[in-house]
Amino acid sequence: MKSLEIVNIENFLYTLRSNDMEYSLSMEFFDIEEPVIGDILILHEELLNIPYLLSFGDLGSSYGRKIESNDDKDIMVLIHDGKRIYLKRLYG
Amino acid sequence: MNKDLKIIKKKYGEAMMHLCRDLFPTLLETEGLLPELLMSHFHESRELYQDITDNYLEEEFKDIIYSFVDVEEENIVVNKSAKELLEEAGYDLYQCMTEEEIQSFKKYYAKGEELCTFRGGRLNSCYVFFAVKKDVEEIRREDYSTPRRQDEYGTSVISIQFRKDKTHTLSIKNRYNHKVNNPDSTFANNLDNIIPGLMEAFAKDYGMVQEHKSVGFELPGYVQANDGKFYKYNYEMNNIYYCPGNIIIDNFEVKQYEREKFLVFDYFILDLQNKKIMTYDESLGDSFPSSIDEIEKIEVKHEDGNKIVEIFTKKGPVRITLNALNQMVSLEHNYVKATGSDFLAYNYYLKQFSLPEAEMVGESFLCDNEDLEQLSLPKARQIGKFSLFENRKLKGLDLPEVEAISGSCFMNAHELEHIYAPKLEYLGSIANSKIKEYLKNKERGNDEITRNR
Repeated sequence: MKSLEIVNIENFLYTLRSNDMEYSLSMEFFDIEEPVIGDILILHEELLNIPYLLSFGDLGSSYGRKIESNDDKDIMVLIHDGKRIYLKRLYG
Repeated sequence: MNKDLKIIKKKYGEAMMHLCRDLFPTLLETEGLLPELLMSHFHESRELYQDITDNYLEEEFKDIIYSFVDVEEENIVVNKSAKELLEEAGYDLYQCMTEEEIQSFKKYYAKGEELCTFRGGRLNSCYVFFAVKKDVEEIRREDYSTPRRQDEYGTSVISIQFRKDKTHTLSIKNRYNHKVNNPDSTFANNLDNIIPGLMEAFAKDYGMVQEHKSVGFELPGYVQANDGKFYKYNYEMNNIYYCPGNIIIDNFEVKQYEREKFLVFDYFILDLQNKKIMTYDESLGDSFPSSIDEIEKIEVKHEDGNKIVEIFTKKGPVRITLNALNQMVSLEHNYVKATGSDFLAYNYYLKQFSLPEAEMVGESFLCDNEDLEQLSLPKARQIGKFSLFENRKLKGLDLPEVEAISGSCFMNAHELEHIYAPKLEYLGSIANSKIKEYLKNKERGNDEITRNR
């Protein structure tokens, strides 16, 4: 899992920074207030290679796979104002 | 045996050879074609078969190989529209301009398999199309008890979506949705896999010129370098991938280190000729290389499929065991007295180690390690914060001289069964609950966990 800071948001395009590296991810969020600049995302490194729109929502959402392990690569943690919000990848 | 299969067996192993024979009978009719396709796109690896099958990606693997065949052929000039081409392929094409139009397709999806597109708002970020098979009413979900992404049901209703930016990155959504692997990469996200010429037709008719052609093949633990090949990697940090076979991929550029001169293991490089060890990416700040004194000699032996690397210094030897993928699985470091911060902080795979002389362990010691089950530090008096933070397998702590464990150590070690730390007096404020309980019991003189030792 990789921890990245949101440094820019333009429409659905998020610029994320970890150490000196920057990544661009196209993302949408359901079930929560949208992240803001300065928030931290913790997600699986492989998601950083996906060029199309990624969707995230509540862990219990029926639009994603059932999560049965803490290590599931569909899990994302959003840290906002010191609070950790657990989300999972939604599909479709 | 077919000559091509012999080549595949040599480069990728027997199991891969059998898989290719099953998946690509027509490609094997053209001599040289399949090995060329494989070797152009997948770095030689005897783990590839296992990695594909462990992730249930056989169908996706088949799709991607066939999509490479399409690229090899000459470009087909097509004068038909996207609608006409899809008509030929048996689909009706619809472009959705409103939310209501999108919702009208929800009826085609089984309960629990609806696309998250139907949650609303997708038109803000994507151009949305649906392609529906003309005989969709005859294709029933109950006839497909084992969903496969590319089967008739999964591809009978597809949503074709392009990002609303200059990249127009494409994602083709499957009718099974998340009940199959990689549902957002149906047809390997290549419209020409539906019918040749479709990609160009969408570009002409709707302006969907794709900046980067999606490969649409996601194989966990693999990276596609700028030579177009997929490489298995052991570690990725700062967009640098550390691969078996003495390969480092830095910003997608492949660097192959000569085996006679260098040994790349984990994220370190051992310079065999100049007798030095270093971290490839100095910004990581891992203190393991600096814990090794001036090297006098290096020996590498092979034993039971592993490499045993012995580094001889004036202060004593350091013995490292690497598995077949050049991951460090065992370490004996017999003279280090104090490890700096971030000592092997990013290592995942170490299962055994011995630091018999270490009196102090700095912060983030083996922070990311996942595989260690027993930690024994016979002389250590202090453990720095965040040590073994990510480890979930730890069962035993043998720390006879430890007086202080700083905050956030062993935080995910919920399976701890045995703790022996009779001199422990100080525990950081954020601490593993089992160690907290151990300290409380020790203070009460009720050291049940040590009695179980």
